[in-house]
Amino acid sequence: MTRPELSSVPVEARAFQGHAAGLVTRSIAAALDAVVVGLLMLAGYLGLNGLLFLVDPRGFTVRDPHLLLSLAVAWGVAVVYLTACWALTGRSYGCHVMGLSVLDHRGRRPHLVTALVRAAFCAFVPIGLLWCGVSRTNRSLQDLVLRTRVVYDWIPHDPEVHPRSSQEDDAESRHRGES
Amino acid sequence: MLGLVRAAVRTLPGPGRVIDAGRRTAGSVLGRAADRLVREVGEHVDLTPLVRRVVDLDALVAGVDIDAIARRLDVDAVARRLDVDAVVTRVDVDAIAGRLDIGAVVDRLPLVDLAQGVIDEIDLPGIIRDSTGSVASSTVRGVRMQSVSGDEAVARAVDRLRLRGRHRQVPEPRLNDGS
Repeated sequence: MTRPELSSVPVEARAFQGHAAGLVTRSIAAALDAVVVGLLMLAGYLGLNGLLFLVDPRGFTVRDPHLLLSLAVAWGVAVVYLTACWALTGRSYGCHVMGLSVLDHRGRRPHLVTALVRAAFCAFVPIGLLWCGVSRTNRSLQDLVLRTRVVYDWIPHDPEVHPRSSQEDDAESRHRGES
Repeated sequence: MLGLVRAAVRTLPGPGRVIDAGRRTAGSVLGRAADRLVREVGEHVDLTPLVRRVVDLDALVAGVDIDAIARRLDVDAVARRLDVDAVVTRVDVDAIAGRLDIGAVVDRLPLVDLAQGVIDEIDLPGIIRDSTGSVASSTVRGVRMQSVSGDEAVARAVDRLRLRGRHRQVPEPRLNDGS
């Protein structure tokens, strides 16, 4: 017996499911992820100060965060956060809110190594995201190098999502004359 | 002379043959006469009241094996000749439905099992979970749709800037699809 096609995805959005997401949606998702990293940093900073207060209440003073150290920690937190999210669920919180999924060249959830390299690449070169606005296949610089894709996927594992493989995108790109 | 007499006697038929020929001739004559007699009687006499008066029809019918006749009957041939549609059009279905005890029918149906089967088949808990999740609220849905529209707008603008006639393939939303 075939399974009936029932989905909670709105009718007007079903046609987009599985297609590569564009610059606006991905930028909003990235901004949300940046907010999440900022909140994690803030929580870590407050937690560290609270710990220091518990250890030495009398000599406690609020630590002045060093700019370079904070940037380095933020970078590390971002890499760990994005790696864990992409490798475990294929979507970070920003992707979850915006209904996106990160897929590898086989159309599956990225492997841990792929997720780690992609997270580091995104954290180092965030401006690479802008390339998806220029690319005819909506692929960022990181996607082009690592052969990954970000697709609309409002309901994870929804039967209506049929992500195309990287080979199909490459063929389409060649057909359109994109290098 | 005596030889001639003997030969003539040998050619004559025997008495048995003469009797048989006589019988056959008499039978044929009598048969034709009886046939003519019955035909004449049938034309001038109404036999039906005569048979009713003389013959015990009830006793005659009681001795007929109707089951044997029914067994020899080709019911399929009868059904093929029957105009079932015409018969059905004369049937008052509404009257039959009015006499139907729907409650008794429903009582015999395993409604709980049927409902459970339907719920299992369509994964109703999953649909409810997806539909009522925090990220599936109307606000988030609106933001997602707006961002998809923004993606399309950016893609069109970039295509126009690149002065290429071929645009990206963007799926058309299915607004009137009620599936």
